Amino acid sequence: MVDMFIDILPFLMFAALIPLLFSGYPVAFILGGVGLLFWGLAVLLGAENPQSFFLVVSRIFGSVVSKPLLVAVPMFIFMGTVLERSGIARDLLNAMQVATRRIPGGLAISVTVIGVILAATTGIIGASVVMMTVMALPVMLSRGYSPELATGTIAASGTLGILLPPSIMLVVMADLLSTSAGGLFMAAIGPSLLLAAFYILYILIRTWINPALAPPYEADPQEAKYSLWLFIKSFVPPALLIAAVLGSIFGGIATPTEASGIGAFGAVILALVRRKLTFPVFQDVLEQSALTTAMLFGLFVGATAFSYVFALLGGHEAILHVMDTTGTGPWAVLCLLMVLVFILGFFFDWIEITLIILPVFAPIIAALDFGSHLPNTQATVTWFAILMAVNLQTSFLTPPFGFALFYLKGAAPNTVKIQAIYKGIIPFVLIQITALVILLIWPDLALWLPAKLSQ
Amino acid sequence: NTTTQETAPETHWRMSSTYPSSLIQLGTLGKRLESEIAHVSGGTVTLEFVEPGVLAPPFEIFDAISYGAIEAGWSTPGYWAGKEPALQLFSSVPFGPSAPEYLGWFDFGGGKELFEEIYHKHNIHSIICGMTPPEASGWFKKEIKTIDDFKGLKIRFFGLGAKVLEEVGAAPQLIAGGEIYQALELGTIDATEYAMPAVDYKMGFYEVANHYYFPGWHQQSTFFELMINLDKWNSLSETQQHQINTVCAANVRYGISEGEALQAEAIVNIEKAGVQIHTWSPEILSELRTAWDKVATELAENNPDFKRAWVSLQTFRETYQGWASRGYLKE
Amino acid sequence: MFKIMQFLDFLNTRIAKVAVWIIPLLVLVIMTDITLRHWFVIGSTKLQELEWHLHGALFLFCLGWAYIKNAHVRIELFAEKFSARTSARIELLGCLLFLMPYCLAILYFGIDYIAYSFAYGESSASATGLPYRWIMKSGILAGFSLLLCAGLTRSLEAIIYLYGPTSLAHLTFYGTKPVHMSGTPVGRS
Ligand code: NA
Ligand code: NA
Repeated sequence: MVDMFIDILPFLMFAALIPLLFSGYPVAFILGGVGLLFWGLAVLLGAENPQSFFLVVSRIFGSVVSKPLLVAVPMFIFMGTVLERSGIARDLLNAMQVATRRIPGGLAISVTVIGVILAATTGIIGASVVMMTVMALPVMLSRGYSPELATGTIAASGTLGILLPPSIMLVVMADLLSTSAGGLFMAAIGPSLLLAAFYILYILIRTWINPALAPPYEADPQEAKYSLWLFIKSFVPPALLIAAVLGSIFGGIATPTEASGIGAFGAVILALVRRKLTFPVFQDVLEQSALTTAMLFGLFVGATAFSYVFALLGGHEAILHVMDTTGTGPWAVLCLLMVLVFILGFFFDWIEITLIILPVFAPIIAALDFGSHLPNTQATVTWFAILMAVNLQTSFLTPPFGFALFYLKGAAPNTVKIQAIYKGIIPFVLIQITALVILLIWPDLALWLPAKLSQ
Repeated sequence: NTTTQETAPETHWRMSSTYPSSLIQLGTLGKRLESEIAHVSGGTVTLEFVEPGVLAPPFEIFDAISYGAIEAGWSTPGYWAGKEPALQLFSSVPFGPSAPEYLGWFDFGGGKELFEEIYHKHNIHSIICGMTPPEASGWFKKEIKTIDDFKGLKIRFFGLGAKVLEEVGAAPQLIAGGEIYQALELGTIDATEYAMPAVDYKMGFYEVANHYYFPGWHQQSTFFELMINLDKWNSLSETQQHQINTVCAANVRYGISEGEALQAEAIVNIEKAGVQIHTWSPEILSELRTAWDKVATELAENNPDFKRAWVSLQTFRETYQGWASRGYLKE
Repeated sequence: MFKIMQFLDFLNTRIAKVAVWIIPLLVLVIMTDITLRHWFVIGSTKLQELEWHLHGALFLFCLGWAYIKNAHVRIELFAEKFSARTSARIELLGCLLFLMPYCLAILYFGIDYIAYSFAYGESSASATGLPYRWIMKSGILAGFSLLLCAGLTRSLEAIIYLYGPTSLAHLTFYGTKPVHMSGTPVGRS
């Protein structure tokens, strides 16, 4: 009886978590607290040793504090806040909206493009989603964009960062699949651009049908004529900044993490040049950035306890138990895995899912024979990795536990409701699923570029 | 040794790994340990291989075992340089011994006693439980012709070797694992050390750097370890302890034989990919060795345990030289 | 009572407002690191380690302050329909059941974690890295102590609102509606 109870503890963790999250108490603390409570329960039942919570401290230090890659997070948040507060972001988006004024949903499309550019500079979703939210969301809302469309666009294009290289997720997957990170990087470019194109297409169609979602640009009475000079003035400085960040990465001057520091430095310089950065404003920008950073890391720190206790209580085995693939064909195995990963994505973030799935299924996948659908084993592994990657990117977007949605919520103005975010993301999740199916049917969308380059 | 009765209870331990199970040798040897001990003990000892990060982040395993949060771990002693610098000498030593000599020192030259003494201070019992052949010296974007070419070289390097390179004027970098490939590709760094050819080939470094150097002077052979909380170790029956020791001994042998066999094929593939494979000139090696001697002397001055282990190893090697230079055919 | 709470909040706020200056410091360290490596070719393992030390300190010192400023994410799907009293009860229960136990557990195990690092003079695992690991590890203790303080004031505040004299209620966070829209701290209505 007690044994059975212990066996279902990991599932009970989720059963408890879901209603608690909707209590309105901070998500970060609920995650940590539920982890602790269930650990305590397991200790009381004699299923766990009373020392093992020690590792949560280790995890906070080892996976959150001493993680050089996460240095990019405060840097991007700061950069976004500086650009927003100095009006640079607003002017840029205005300029882009003017330039695209004949296109329905021009501003949302511009934001998607910015998302793609940002994605090329970082692989940390928290960084890109928060920066996009801070920079673009206030402008989109003030232009009368529907909160659903605005948040959906930002969340979806912000998460492209994990797919488009550089991407820490692809590196971890390359490690677990024993394949070259470079190969996966190349293979991810096609699908990333495909997704971006889908987002844009969706925005076009949606706002063409219902223009109220994205009111067209209306010139400010003061600036009756939007002159070319004004356009250049608002477009060129941020373009230079982006060039500096991308240039420092691709020119071999800085790693992507360090490039985030260059971006932050550049943003301050631009703001100073514009004389928009007085001392009180700067202090305020610092405080805003620090609060947003603390919000994000609060989630990391809480989630690490939750996922640790979940693994400790045998949650990973319980999930794998569900996936008994013996005696099924290659397509069945693959599709089953994709569905499983998608469902796990509702609750877990990518690192948990890859750690649960890949070590066990990597050898199985490599041995699958898809006949003429794929040229060789190497291609199968790459294709599988990209399918996983798109699926995992989606996991950041699926309610209720899409972490990108939490990041967005935390960085958005208080007037933006979680309902709007949940509602706004659904069409984008459907787009993700469509793209996944297309990739299943046409592996060449991923495999073409690496094959071309290795010739 | 206080020994519990032969009918010791079934033991199920979590063995948290610093390497993913898919990583050639570094991880697969740990995974092999998991299955071997299950067979040999008839299921009375289970070491459940836990992927890095699932429970403990790689660098946190030591503390967690010492504290008793988890029971066991799979790693290499050099990982704990920040806690016990002397342990670096039990992982691999720059210009150090190859496998037979290293094992000779460890088993019969006083290595094991020191090793256990250091670990027992931390409430950990560690067993050498795997071994791998020499690593490659690394991937370089430009050819290194003289020792001066190291000056200003941005190279990703870890551990004692990094200290040596700093000594000859290179700028060792600490690039996060995930960013090495791209940093090398884009020229943010000029070179990187990684692992043995079989692993390097899988990682695809041949796509972004054209010069591959041998021999790996910084890592001629590497020990891997099974770490166990000392109280947990003492709670085992004598039979169970023997089972673990025996499986580990067999795993060391397996690591050497598998490692030797694996590299040959990888080298062929790397050559096929158009990489220029170089051998360090004797001059460069001798400069690096001088630098290493200096670094080792400094480290020994700063840490008494490091000194004891270093002196023990050096003493063994000096005597061993008298045998090695005569006993083996020189090609 | 308000005095103690105000002091705890003041402590949190003061520390955090100094800690925010870590951001420009971090920018400068990164720029220095890049400059040294690219133009002067100087090895910078220490600077590279300093970068994550700084980012760790930044978020740890701001965790509690962010709670006071109500910056931590909430899912207010149903919560916004709750009355102020219900919200106060949830906040109180949340602090007592989740936040404070979690902080206490981290502090309990954290003390051993840091004592260990201190006792063995732990330094970077990288031979060319920074010494004194315990300093950064202590940041975890500091951060969670501050978060605990914030949880303490928040729960006291809820208690005063729920069970204290009505004359004090308007001074609390819950006296100002809508609850989840603002972060007005204790006694400063
Ligand atoms: Na990216
Ligand atoms: Na999700």
